[in-house]
Amino acid sequence: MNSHKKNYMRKQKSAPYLFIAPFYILFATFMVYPIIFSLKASLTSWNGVQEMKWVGLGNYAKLIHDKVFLQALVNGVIMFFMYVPFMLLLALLLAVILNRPRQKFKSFFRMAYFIPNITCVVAIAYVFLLMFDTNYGLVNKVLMSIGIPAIRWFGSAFGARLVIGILVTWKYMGYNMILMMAGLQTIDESLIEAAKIDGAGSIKVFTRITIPLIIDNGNLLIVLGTIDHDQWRRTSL
Amino acid sequence: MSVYLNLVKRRTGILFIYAFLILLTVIMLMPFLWMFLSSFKSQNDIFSSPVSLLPKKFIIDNYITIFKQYNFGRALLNSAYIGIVGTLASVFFCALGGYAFAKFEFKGKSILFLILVSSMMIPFEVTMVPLYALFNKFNWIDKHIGLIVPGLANAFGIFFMRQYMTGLSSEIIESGRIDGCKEMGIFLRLILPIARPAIASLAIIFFMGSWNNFLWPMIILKSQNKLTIAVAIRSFNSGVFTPYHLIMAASVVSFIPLLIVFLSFQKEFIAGITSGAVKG
Repeated sequence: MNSHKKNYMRKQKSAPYLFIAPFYILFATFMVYPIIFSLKASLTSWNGVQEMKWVGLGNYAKLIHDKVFLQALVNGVIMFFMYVPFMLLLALLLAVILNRPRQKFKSFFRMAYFIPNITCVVAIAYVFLLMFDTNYGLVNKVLMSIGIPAIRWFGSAFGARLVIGILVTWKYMGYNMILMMAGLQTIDESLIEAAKIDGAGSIKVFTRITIPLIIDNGNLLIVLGTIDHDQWRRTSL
Repeated sequence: MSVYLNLVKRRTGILFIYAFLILLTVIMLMPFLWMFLSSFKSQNDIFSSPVSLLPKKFIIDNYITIFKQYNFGRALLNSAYIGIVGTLASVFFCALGGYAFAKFEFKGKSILFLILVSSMMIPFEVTMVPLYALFNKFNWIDKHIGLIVPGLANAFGIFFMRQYMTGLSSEIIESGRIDGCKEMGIFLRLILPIARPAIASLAIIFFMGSWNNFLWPMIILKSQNKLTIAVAIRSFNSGVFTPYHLIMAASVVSFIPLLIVFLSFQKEFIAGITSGAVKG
């Protein structure tokens, strides 16, 4: 009886390790090993087939003088400032509007803004290439109809970056809006009521109460936005 | 008088808000409309002036071509197979891991959990090249198993299931133990059925992620009959010529199943993405 119970306790102790083992096995094989391999390979000269030749920090020295690499770093920073603040602000504004108690068609608008998020980036990239085409695109047609001359969107680095920023904002704005709406729902309604009784207008309530309280959430979104938009929920490689 | 003025001011404010919401709706939905209508245009029609939203002549040849000549049906089947098998298996392992973190006390739990959460911050691009070399050794290049196995137990999924299962009552587990159930039996018979809402949310997130996945499938899949939809769409572009009319048709076809899944499980999906990110 006693030994049976002991045996049972031991089994119960090993169970959680068994349950989490799949993750750590996959993590070690498909993440830790590749990262260590990358680190090792980065210190060698290797063409993928022949033996690795140790070169120390030589590759890194080359990298910081590499114009393309430096440009890519700059591009990353430019892209970030180009759309992340704008996208988060728009998402917050919409979240506040749609969270108003008397808002009509709330679920329709929420769905309309969110639905770009479920699209496949490959398909959407081609749609945007067509829409922003200089001669045959919808965007230039609309611009020309209000008197703005046709823009060669892909003719300059700035134009191309702008289109990418628009695409990413289009795809992820609704996603951020949904997160912010969930964040707004955690804000104590009585705080806002109290401020209104004290004579604060809706803009003041927004800047003095809603924004500070949502910043907690916003911080998280900025961090996630910097790393990679759907990195955190990347489900399969 | 001032009451009347206030009313007018509020009315215009509300009108302005709705105008803004509707304009934004049009902008957000326009790419879908453009994609849909362009899929019924010929290549010449797409590249003709003046630009018009509607096709000059509605044709369904694009859809016939992608299925007959480009074997797009096969790509749809591949994506469905990888999506369904991968999702079912990974939801199971994530629920199992999440359950262990939520309901067991064990040595090293907090450090193991910290490792799990930090692993979410590693961008895939960092591991991509060595992973290819590793898969080459496993002989997993150009095989669907190479897309399914690495995602089987993922950190986000375990984190997500843990959040949900922490809220479950421990009494059920205790009663199962008293009845002499094995730990795995408790999980399969008692925990899995209760956790159904969370499992549904996670399954939809996984399925959509897998369906739209592009980078890794593009790297490891080579044969025409193994391609998933995203890679198949990319493969229409021969490098010299981009058949936009076919790409638009393929995009519509690949989007429809996703739209159906999304519209039927909208609630679960939204509950899923928010519960992962909001504190409390």
